[in-house]
Amino acid sequence: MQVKKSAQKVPKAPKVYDAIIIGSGASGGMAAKELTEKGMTVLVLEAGPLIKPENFAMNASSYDSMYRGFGPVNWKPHEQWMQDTAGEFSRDFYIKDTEHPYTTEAGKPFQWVRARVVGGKTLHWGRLSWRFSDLDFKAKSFDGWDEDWPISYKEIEPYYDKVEEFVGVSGNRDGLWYQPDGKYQPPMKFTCGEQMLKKGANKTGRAAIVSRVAMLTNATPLQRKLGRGNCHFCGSCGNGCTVGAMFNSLSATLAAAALTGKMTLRPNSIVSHLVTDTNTGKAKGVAVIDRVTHQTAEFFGKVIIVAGSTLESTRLLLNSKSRQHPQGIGGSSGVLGHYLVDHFGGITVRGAFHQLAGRDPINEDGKSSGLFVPRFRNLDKNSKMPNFLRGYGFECSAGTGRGAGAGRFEGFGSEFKKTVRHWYTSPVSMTTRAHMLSRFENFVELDPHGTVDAWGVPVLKIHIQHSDNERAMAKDALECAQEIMKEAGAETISVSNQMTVPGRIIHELGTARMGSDAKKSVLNSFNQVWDCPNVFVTDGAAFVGAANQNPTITLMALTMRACDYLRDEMKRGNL
Amino acid sequence: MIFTQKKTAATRTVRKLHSIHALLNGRSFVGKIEPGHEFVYALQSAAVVNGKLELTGKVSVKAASGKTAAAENVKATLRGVQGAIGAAQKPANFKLVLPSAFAADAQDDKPLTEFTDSRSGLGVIYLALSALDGKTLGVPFDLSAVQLNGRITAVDQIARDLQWFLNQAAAALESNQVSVAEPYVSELDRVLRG
Repeated sequence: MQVKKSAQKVPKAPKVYDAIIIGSGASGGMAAKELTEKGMTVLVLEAGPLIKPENFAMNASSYDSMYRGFGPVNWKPHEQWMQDTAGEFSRDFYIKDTEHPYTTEAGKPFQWVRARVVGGKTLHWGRLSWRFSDLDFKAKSFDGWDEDWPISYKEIEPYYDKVEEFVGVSGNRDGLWYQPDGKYQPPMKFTCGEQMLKKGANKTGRAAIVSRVAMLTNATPLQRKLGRGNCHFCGSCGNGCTVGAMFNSLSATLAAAALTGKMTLRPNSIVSHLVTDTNTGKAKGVAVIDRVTHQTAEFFGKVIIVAGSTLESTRLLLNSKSRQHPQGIGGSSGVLGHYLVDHFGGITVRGAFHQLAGRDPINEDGKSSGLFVPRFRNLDKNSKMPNFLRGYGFECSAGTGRGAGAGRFEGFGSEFKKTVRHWYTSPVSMTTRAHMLSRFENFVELDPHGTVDAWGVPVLKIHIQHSDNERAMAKDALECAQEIMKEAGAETISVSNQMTVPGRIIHELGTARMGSDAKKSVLNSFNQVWDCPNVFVTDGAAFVGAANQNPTITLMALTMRACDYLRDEMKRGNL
Repeated sequence: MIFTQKKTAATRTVRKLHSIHALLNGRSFVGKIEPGHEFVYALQSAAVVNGKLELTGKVSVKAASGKTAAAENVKATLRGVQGAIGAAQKPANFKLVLPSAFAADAQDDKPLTEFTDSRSGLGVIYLALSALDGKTLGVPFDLSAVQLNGRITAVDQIARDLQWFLNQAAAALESNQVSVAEPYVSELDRVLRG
């Protein structure tokens, strides 16, 4: 019998990717690299546009702009009022607040800095790369507060090694147990002022070490293969690094993923929610709104990696409600959205070294690394504080042009210029990066009154404030900074004694925490959603606590580890 | 690249406009509806209705051609607020001492958090506008459920005064303290009526 081919067109089945990755920043980029290098087909969805490195304004000079680097009049308060670190040449790296609302409790602001652009916040991040230690992962075991992470330092250590080697981190091995050493490229050198400040810190019994930054000082063959080169100290990192010395996912992880030929990158793709299979409750894909055309689409994947940045990821989970997930994906424990933290800063002391005033200015303001005073409180019995838990560190810098603002001097004309020039070489500053305790009552939810963004997607309402623990820590930090300045021989010129509003440090973490108990956490120890095993949340949302160190290197290590687990689970047929 | 368009999107002829961004300038929110339409929501009064702040005003839309259309008696109900990175200033000529919904600042010697509680400001109010007819107003969008993102920054004294009253009223209404909110809303109403 001859079977005739049907004239009717058979609809083409939609492509199913091995993995869909939401977000292209530090975590999304790392996931793309790891999964494609394991042979998986990957679709990376980025809500913002692609800005190619050749279009970065690294070499732009304020003097060439009619706005002198400040941007058009009122641009910031009218369009990007929460984008604190955006500058005239970098504003395209940030969202417009006009299109991206969120709400807060009256009187309790949250400064949410966001990057919807391929590369995410890695295009302009601070690059400080400190490992967490068991003082952080097992913090509850030290002081009884909240929960321990479900992982130990030993478990994540090999991933820190691999991340640092790939990313390229310059720094010293300093031998501090609570601030573990890693795989570093040569450190950047201290300036004269930093040497003096280090001596001051050491006199008070505190360590002071070279900042570890994700900047290439001795690029490896692999880094060169990706087109990355060593830092040339131009000091324009925040405008985008065209040479790839500064780690960003565009020039490193996404570039590596692209080399495999397994990655499809789709910019301008706003994921509104995850789509679940009504039979199994597992995720089968994502719903997307095109940022420019507002058209909708669906994409399908065996596994979904949610890496859209801490609060965007949680917003996405909360917006992914279905019959099986009535509180959103990961919502069954009741902790989704809770335990939001940021670091706090704002406790800052600025001063001047008289010995360094009046010398010839030297070209030392392009160095992105400074001096760091690692945590020294509550490390052990001897450093235990009676009035607060956890601790803080100081980010410090000193040298020509570093915050030597002319604004602090009175006068005009040639005498004024002479005064400014005299002190230009002398400034020194110390600012706090401190732990904020994880507390259930600091949380996000979908705005209960239905506020939406420009694409109609429900937005977050953010509830957060500092507690007395942070306030006590801030008071101690202010006193210690002044003590170190004094011991270093610097004159304190100004003191800032207000803590930053939550969010301002851009280290928002938590809200989809990992844990060892499905009733008290959203994710297991491999970033896998307890309630929906083919969904992984790999960015800062997974953090159990903030520690006081910058989080990016840790979330990249967690992502790499989650990808290994995911690959193994897929091989076992569990996903 | 795969782009599977949903049927619903393909059949929709008029795109829904979800939000309009506008800046408070005097007593009006002034913004744009792309492409090329000027949007003005001129506030005329304020009241507490069913425990929520409700503003009333006139919407005007001016096309690039210069043609203007308007809708009177447009209601705007407060959905939520975004706290500012900056403080609201109490109007200099407002002498009344009223109870506040904000917590008093701690009086100890420990640092406080910037721009919080009594030192807070209000950066944006998100308002649900009553249904507008895009066709009548001459814009190519469905305006049946538009949210007004009302940015409030210190562009003039009236906006500054409104910011302070709105901040107080929003805080009180959020915690269901209608009696605390009412005097502030009365002041808002007084300022809006000019």
